[in-house]
Amino acid sequence: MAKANTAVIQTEGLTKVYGEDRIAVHALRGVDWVVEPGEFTAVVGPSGSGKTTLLNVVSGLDTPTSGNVWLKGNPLSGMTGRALSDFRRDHIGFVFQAYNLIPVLTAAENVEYILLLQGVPAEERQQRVHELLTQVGLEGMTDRRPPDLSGGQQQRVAIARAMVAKPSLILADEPTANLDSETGSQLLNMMQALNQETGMTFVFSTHDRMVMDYARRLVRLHDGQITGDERK
Amino acid sequence: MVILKIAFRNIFRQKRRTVLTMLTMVGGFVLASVSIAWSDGTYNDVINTFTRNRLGHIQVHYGDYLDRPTLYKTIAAADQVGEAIGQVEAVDAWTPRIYSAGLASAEDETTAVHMIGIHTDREDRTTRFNDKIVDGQPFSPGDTNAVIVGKGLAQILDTSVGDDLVLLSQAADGSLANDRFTVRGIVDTGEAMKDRSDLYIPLATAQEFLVLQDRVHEIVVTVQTLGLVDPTVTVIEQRLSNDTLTVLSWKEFAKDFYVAMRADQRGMWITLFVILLIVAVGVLNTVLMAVLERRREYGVLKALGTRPGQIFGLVSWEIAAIALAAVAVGTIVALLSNHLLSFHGIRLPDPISYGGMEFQEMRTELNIRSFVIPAVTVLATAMASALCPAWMALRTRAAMAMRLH
Amino acid sequence: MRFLFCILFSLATTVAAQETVRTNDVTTPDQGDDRSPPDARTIVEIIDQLYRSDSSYSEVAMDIVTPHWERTLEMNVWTEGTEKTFIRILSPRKERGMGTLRIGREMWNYLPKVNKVIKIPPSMMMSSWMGSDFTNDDLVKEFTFAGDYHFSLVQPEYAQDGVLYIECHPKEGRPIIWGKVMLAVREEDYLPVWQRYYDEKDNVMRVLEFSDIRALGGRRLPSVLTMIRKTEKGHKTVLHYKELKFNVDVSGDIFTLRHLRSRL
Ligand SMILES: Nc1ncnc2c1ncn2[C@@H]1O[C@H](COP(=O)(O)OP(=O)(O)OP(=O)(O)O)[C@@H](O)[C@H]1O
Ligand SMILES: [Mg+2]
Repeated sequence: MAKANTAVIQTEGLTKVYGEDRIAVHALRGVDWVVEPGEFTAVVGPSGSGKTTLLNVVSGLDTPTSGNVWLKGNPLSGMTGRALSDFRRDHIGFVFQAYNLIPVLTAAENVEYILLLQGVPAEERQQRVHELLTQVGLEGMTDRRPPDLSGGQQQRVAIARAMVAKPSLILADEPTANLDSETGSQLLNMMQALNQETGMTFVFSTHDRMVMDYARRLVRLHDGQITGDERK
Repeated sequence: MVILKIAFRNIFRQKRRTVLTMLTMVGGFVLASVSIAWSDGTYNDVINTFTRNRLGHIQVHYGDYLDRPTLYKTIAAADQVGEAIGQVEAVDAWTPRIYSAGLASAEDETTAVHMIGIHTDREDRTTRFNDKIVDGQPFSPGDTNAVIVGKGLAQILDTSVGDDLVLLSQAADGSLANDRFTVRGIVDTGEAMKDRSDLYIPLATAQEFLVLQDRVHEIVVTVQTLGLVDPTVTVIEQRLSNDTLTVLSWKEFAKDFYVAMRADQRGMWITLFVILLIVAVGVLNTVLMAVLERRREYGVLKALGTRPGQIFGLVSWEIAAIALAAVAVGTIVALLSNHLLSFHGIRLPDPISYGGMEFQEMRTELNIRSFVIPAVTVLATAMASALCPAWMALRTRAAMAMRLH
Repeated sequence: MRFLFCILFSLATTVAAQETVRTNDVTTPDQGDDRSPPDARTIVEIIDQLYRSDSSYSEVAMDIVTPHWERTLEMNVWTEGTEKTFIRILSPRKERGMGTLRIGREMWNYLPKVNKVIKIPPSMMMSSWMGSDFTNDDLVKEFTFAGDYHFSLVQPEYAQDGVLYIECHPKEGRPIIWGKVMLAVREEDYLPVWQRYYDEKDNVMRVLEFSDIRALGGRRLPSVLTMIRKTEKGHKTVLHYKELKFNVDVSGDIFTLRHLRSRL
């Protein structure tokens, strides 16, 4: 069932149904989707259209009701919980809408976390953590804990953490939803730069116009179905 | 390891909850520890009073004397047998005795008595006999025609210290032993029934009176601690290497008492079980709450590629750390309270009666098991009750957790 | 156990009863073939009265045998009516001078060594008298087979020629500890051969054997009585009558505590 290795994400007939019978919610209804390496793509659609569901299913955080997902040619359905964890650790960076830092760890420790899981040597860890936090503009705040950071600063930490392990794919679920437009555009600029420099693949979900402007591909989702796919 | 770091930080993040969980465990630990120490203390107290008072820890008889006593089932060369027993290391003291039925006649009253020939000073060293003399004097070495009578018997015979008694019994050669004795003392052993019939005479006098030469019916042995009784029985049996002699521990010659004590101990385990159940429910409750509250966090950890086993470990470590701290604190608190209660026992409003003796003060015994058992059980129940929340944490659906905005 | 008592201490009895015995005494021996068939009542009355008279004096040796020791007590015994008994022990040396006085249901022992009279408490009545196989109680009970038992002639499996057997069951309300007593008597003169005492479960508890028939006090009587307790292996007590006189003079102070306390 392995697919051509070129696609970062490939889905086939993906459906997701929450609940059963009369109260069943069809969050995804047959999504066929391919994301190629180096894309800077936004999944857009009204609230409840299934954006979050799609990202969760694609990253293995949630299981589809039917259909298949391949990540870099590997079928998710064949992976154990542990293999899936390891795959995420090594290949996917996450940025969530809000509150996605570990509250008891400092900004630096949050960023370092994945490197620790990967078993990266201490020296290299320090260096990369410092590098990334500088990159997102948080040099002086590395030892602060999440409660002592603003929402924007927290999101920067989250982006730094998502990128620190140099994953091939970054999934960001409404990364700017809780930020003012200025902070939002700063982050988007930063991500765009990273995308261009490193060729990392970015997939956002959003209903933020600004994000749509930055994106080079817009995938429109409506009632769990792709209703439009435009590349700029 | 980063998981451990997070675990520890979590402990300090929710100070109140941590303190609450710890208090539950410390409380359980102390309660369990005190009840074990108390039960052990009372148990040993009762056994020691029971055995040290009269019976001793070990008894030696000829054949089946204990089941079917007769004047003629005697231990020959009692002194040598006794000396051999006395050389066994764990033996604290030993004393020989003679038992016989007889008739005691005071001025006007005559009654059947249970004559007990006791060694003039060994008896006291073994069973603190002289402490129980409430009137008159103890025997002194070289005493011949003196008797010490039980309190109740003194009343029945209407006799007091200094009065004369005539004793009548059948000697081992069939002759009718009879002689005049002076009441030297009156004894209150705490066993009222026995004190109504028991009459003590010096061993040497009893041997002559009953024509028993160097023979005795019983050798009573006490050992240094209760735990040494069983091994010492074996050692004595080996040393004596005499098939005609029977060496029994208190567990056998006071079987009813032993069985009652065992039943009592079982009651202690039930109490302990209930205490630990309460601890377990308390721990489960607080840990479960903590885990449910942090589902989002576990979701994030999972999304970041933390393995299920690591998440399980995270929760387990949190509880383990709290439980270890609780055991440490509990040990200190229990040590203090057990220590205190071992000196100042708790006085019961009404004395409880056990095996004919009364106990009013309950004391604890400081021993290792009263700490080890609660420690093991608190740790075990904490970990067992952590299992369920830990399992829930590792099964946290990351997707679900992420939606709980 | 009145019977033992009778034998041991030759009790006197009522005149009326005595007369009956006398009559029997005269009529029973050697009546030949024209004797009337044996009658249970006649026999138990003879047994009851065998050793009885108004008063008696006897010299007795008592051998006591146990697995642990054997000894012989020699003693003189006086009786008056069914009420009074006086015993003085002559030997062995250790017991010489000891005495027992019984008046009715009360008993005293005298211990010369300590010069003390001890009244036997009721709780001691079932203990041994002077270490023998007789109890103190045996000395004071006053039952008769004729008056206190139902009796009948029987033919047990072990029956022998020339011996008659009588089974006796205590009457209601009598404080008798036996379930049954078997009497064996010689057919020729109704003199006792043995008596067996059973408990409620029909186990033999004691056996009293009679032997060595001699002329004693003007009567023909077994002069040796052996008491065997079946409950204690190897125990027995043998009584030898060396001298027995009936209707002797027992006036004076024989049956008094003062006499009991007097030294030999
Ligand atoms: N766990 C769940 N149980 C039941 N229904 C759910 C669950 N999660 C999502 N849904 C439903 O599935 C549909 C898709 O939800 P989803 O969160 O994917 O939408 P979305 O496009 O991300 O919306 P938003 O822009 O508001 O975040 C919605 O109708 C939602 O109510
Ligand atoms: Mg969403």
